[in-house]
Amino acid sequence: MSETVLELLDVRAGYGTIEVLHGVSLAVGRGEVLALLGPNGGGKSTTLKVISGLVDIMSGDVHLASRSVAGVSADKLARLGLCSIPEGKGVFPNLTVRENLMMATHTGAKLSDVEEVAYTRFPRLGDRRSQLAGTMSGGEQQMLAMSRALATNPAVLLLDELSMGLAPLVVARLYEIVAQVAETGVSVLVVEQFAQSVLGIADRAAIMLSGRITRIGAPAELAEELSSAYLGGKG
Amino acid sequence: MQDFLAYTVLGLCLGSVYAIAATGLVVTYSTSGVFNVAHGAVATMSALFYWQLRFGWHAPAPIAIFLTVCVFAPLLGLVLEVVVMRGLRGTSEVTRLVTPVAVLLGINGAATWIWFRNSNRALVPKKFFGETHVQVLGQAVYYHQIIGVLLSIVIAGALYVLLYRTRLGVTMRATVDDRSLLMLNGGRPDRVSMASWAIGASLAGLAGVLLSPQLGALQVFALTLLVFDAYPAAVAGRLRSVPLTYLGAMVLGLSKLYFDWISDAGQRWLVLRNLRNAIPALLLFGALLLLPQDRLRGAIVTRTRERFRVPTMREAVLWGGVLVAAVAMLQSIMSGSAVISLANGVALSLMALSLVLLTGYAGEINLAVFTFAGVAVIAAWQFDVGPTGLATQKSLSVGAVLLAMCVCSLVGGLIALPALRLRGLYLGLATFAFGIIVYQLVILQTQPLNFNIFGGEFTVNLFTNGSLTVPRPHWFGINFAGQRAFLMLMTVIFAVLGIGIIAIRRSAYGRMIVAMKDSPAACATLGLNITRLKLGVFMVSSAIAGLAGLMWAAERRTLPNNADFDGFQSLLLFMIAVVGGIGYVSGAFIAGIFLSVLSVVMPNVFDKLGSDYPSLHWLFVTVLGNFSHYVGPALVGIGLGKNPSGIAQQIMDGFRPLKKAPGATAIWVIAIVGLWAATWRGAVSNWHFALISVGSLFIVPRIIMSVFEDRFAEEERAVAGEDLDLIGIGRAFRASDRQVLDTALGLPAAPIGGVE
Amino acid sequence: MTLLECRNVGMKFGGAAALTAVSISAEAGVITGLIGPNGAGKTTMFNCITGLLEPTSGEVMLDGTDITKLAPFRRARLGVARTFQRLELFTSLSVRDNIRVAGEIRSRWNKGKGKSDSHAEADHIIELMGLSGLADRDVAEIPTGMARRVEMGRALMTRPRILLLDEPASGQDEQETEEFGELLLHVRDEGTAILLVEHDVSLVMKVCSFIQVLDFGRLIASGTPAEIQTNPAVLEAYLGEDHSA
Repeated sequence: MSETVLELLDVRAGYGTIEVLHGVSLAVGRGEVLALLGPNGGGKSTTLKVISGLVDIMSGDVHLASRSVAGVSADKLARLGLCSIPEGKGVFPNLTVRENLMMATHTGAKLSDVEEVAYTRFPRLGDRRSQLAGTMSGGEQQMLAMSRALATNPAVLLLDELSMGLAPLVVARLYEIVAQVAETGVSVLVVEQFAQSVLGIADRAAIMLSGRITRIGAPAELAEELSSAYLGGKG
Repeated sequence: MQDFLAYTVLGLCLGSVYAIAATGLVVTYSTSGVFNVAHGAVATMSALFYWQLRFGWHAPAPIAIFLTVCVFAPLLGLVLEVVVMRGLRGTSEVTRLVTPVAVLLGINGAATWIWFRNSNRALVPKKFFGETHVQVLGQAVYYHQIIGVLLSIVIAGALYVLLYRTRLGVTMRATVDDRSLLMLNGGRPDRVSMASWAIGASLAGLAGVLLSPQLGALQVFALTLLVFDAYPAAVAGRLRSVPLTYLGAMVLGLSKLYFDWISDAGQRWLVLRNLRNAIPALLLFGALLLLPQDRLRGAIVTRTRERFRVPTMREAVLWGGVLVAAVAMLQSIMSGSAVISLANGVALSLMALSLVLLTGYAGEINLAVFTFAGVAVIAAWQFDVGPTGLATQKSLSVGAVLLAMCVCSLVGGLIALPALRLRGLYLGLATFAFGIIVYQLVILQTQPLNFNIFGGEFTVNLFTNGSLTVPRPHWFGINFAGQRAFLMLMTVIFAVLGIGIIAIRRSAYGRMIVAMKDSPAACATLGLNITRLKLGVFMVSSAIAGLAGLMWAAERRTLPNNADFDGFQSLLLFMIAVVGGIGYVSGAFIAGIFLSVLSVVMPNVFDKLGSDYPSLHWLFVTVLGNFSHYVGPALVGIGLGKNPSGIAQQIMDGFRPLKKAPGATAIWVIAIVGLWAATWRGAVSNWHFALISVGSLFIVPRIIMSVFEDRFAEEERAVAGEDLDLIGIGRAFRASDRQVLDTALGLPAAPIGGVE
Repeated sequence: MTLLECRNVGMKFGGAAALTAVSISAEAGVITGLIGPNGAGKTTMFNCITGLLEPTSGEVMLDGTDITKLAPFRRARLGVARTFQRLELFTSLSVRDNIRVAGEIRSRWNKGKGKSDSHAEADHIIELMGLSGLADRDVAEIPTGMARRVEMGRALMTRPRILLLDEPASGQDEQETEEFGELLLHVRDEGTAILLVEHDVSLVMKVCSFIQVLDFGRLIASGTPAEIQTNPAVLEAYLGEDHSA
């Protein structure tokens, strides 16, 4: 594996009195796509929130490019190149498409450039540049969220349930882009409840159950285990 | 027709200024979620600052306006955001309302201190370009007004460009949409908040400068009230929409001017003389009623920082008895003037008590407690004095008290009924509007109202001569006219009501009230009719406020119809009640005493110290006395963000060690009682008694702490040595717990991580 | 007998449709499962049934009565009770008082019937839910899994005809979930119908007699547990398109 960009070291974290992650360790290399899979309530989203700085850790450490970033605020992390699309609400619903893209220009990029890249990648967004993001379909919203995320040239991309509520074709298109982005050297951590959509592009996959990583390995090795994790036996 | 058009022009001029004030409010609310009650105070302070530059130091108008609107006001806004408002995240709606109230009172106190300390000097603001005007349809339209209209148009345009065309503005809107998503995108919500507070304050400053010529001479609270008038416009815009706010402001301006037109500037109907001043409040009430039904919500903040414990009935009765005994003992050694201060404090405590039930338990807000006092006084007066205007009773009758409570309860119900579907802040604003309406139309009404009902003449006397006299009661064969007897009566009423309120809290009804505050949605799905329960609580609390108000009025004997009813007094009481500890009966007591002590006793103490030590006069009187008088109450309110559960809670925590050392505590109590007896016999001066007893309150718990250190250390160990299986269940799991577990299991201290 | 029936329920937020013509039902005396991926609209469905949301189209019928327009508290009085996915406990009250207050609310609208023993009933429910050891704790400081049981106990205090459970097992460990399954069966046998939303599919398969699957705000399948486990549409919804073989 190439150099490690993002690393979790025995992280314990949770909300208030409840510990949700009971010692999670993970490493994502440069240009790698790691899929974090498992049923709901297993702690996948919490893991992402810990990495992006929205949930404080109780013990352990998070390293970004070999630097400890535990306790660093979310906005600072974002400016350090850690970009995430949270589950189901990756856009500002009361801003237009254009204004949503404007939120990615804090890196100094020009809005017109950002727009051009986005509209080339997803022509449908170009048709709707003055529409409020909240009134678009789920697929278009994810395209917008993705465009905005990529416009910041992140080092690490965190994706939470990208496929949720989307048609399979749209999901395939989005993950195709994720794969392209990874090839340019961006590290990607994908959380998915629905495994199949992401296994095609993942370099490695990890299964998370009850706040612990139970398996980690090549996607093919994990296929069997996955169906039992979801549907309790047959699959 | 020409008149109509002319008044329309003037109405739009007035509306423009309201629009500037109201959009400032909207900008801050929509980006920080804090309804800035202090907006008016910022405007006032800025108007005074402008006056100082322009007329005090004769600076040219453009420089003065630039320094006020672009430097002073934004800085004030920035300071407020950084020092005060930022700390309000994660607190309850009540705290987020109270803190700006404290800021309002603090800024106004400071303004009074700076500009009106020595005398009631008249600071006369002038219009821009003085009296220069043009004639429009036969009405004079001043250049000042034209400037206002132009500025409001420019500001509307600038705000539009800011919010929709610039990164900062778009980020401000993004903060409202999704704060955490903004952070994930590298935005800095804190900076955005600072910017929006600066802009909001700048608009407030401009509005203050533009509005101030409406007053003949600048007065701190009058000017603040003038800015309050813009609230209905902001509410019409649902505190979010700038265009709707503009529309609301125009409706507001036009309403006032059309009223002038049809009423011949108030000359036509004398009874409705003050209606013009009540128009904003009436519109505010109306706008609130037109708001869409609030969706049934669950807990918005899952865990607010406020926590209140409930005393047992035994504790309640015990402490009620202790309170009565302590006041009885104290008053016997106090001087006459001190008794008056104490009685004033107990009266205010009674008023605060109505808020414990309503706000502390049920989470609803009433910003018009003093208005209920006014209503109660009118009702009782009507009962005891009757339509003839001749007193039939020399003392306050029980019937009058009961009538006053019933009337308050009904009035409270009537206000609350339409407003109950609104959530806390809006209900609070509705009660505030109600307070202003009653003040302007009822309490300031000096005309006797004559009704002809079924042929019989019926006269209602309001504050006919500008004041009402409330006699003190003569009940159970005891005459309570004397100051000390009346103090004891009020103390007993407080104790009984307090025990009653705790009994309510401990009953099934009380549990329902608290449950409703915690999660209205869950209550509804359990079959609880929330509207009815809220209405009931509001009516009970209004009745308590009525009784308390009568006692407060009787304590003062003569009640003038001005200062206490204009809204600020109710705001102050609400704030201090929250500071005292809104969830506790003891908090209400502390609040009343605190208010009395801060506004009366402290300045007196400093005055005395100043005259005793003339060389330190500047320190005691000029600095400390003025400070405690003008900004003291505000400072404690501002500190609320740090300890939202209030003073009562802090005191209880401070005295917890006493429970572990009953013997030492008993000795201390006996010593104090002995000291009291000595004072009573005249062997010790009451000044020394106060010094020693108050001092011991602070010192004794610490002494006990240190002497019985072993006992507390043991307790600590017991906590540390808890059952390993239960770690993290009874309380939050901490990093240190993990070390305890690791040690117990014999694991190496530094965990070996990594799956691969 | 069909106790609860939703006919063509649709719910739109702004332009986005959360539910599109969903028709589901629950029989008396059985546990019915309602499953589906995240964002499928299960909680929205619960909100429409309990009245916290009014559906934009369709009807909700309880035992033949149209309750679509009724206020939430009226539905509760007709026998609809629920728990919440995002906990809605009364955080100022202890575990015991959380459950008691539900009984006290009930005795306000259900006058004369069983008022005297509502505290005894609360104690019984605390025992039944396995909360005896925690009864005097603050609800704010007990673990999520236990807090969900408090919510369920609270809902049971209204003596519902149908109980809607929204992810009751999340936050409970394997053994607790096992016991919890037994508890559900016990409640069912006592005569309360249950509509269960749950992510722990093995629990759903174990206790439910009938399962309905939502995806994208539409009903995509319904049937017995065995049928659901082999239903291609369900597998596709859960595992993606390639898995339907």
